[in-house]
Amino acid sequence: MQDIYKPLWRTWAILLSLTAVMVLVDVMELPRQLMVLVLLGAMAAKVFLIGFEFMDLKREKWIVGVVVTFSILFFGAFLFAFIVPDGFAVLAGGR
Amino acid sequence: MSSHSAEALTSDATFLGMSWRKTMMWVFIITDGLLFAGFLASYGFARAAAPEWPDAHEVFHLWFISLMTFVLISSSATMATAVAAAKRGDHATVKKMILATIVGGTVFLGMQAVEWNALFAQSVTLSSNPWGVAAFGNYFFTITGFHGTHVLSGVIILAVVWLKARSGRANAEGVEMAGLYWHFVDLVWVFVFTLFYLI
Repeated sequence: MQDIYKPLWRTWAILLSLTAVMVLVDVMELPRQLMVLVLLGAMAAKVFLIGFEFMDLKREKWIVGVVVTFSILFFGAFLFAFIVPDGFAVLAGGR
Repeated sequence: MSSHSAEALTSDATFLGMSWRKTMMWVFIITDGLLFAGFLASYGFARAAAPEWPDAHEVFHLWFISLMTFVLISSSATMATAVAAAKRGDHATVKKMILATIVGGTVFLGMQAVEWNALFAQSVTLSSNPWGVAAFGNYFFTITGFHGTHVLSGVIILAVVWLKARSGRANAEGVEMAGLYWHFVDLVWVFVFTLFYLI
């Protein structure tokens, strides 16, 4: 394996290790809140690694990463803000 | 479109230092990501609102799903290697790694078919299941089906890129675009794996 490709395979190994940790945490009988916290943390780390290393955001201008992250967070929050209250209204028989 | 604005959209033009092709791929990824965000938000709401939800340990074979995750992450690594090789002009590695990615994607789809069959055998459908939570099958098949369709599209796109690479017609940017899409498919699986199978 040439040196240029090594960082990519190091990322692969880290991603697999994080997945193994997630599976272990899931089968261990941890308190649910702690388990969810660890799983979400590991998930965020995996998303960051895939975006930064595999999708090569680390080589783009920093503003690209900011635009991508902000767009998803902003519109994601927008979606949640409209879906969740509406959902609870339907559930409560409001309409 | 005026000639001036048409000129601005040629492949040489850039936006934030990226070609317009790449910019539009990112726009697509963001919008497609929001589609999955909508699905997962809806799933989260349905699950929070339901008085009971089937225990994932009873429904799924976690080790099998973990193996599926291993296959998809590995295919993402081979794709990233193909993109890096394409940028260096290492055509032999590009062809090998794209082929490995196609194999990974195909294996993932086969494993998903096995998983779906196991659920069909347990009488899980879009509208009913043995646990009495109708929404469960609905969300499961919709979200994993939608993701699987993305994997299938990715395999087809990669097959086209591989054929072009074989005949020496693939350029580095084309391989990179296919790579971005493939990594996005992997990224979505990270969410699906965590939120559907583990939590």
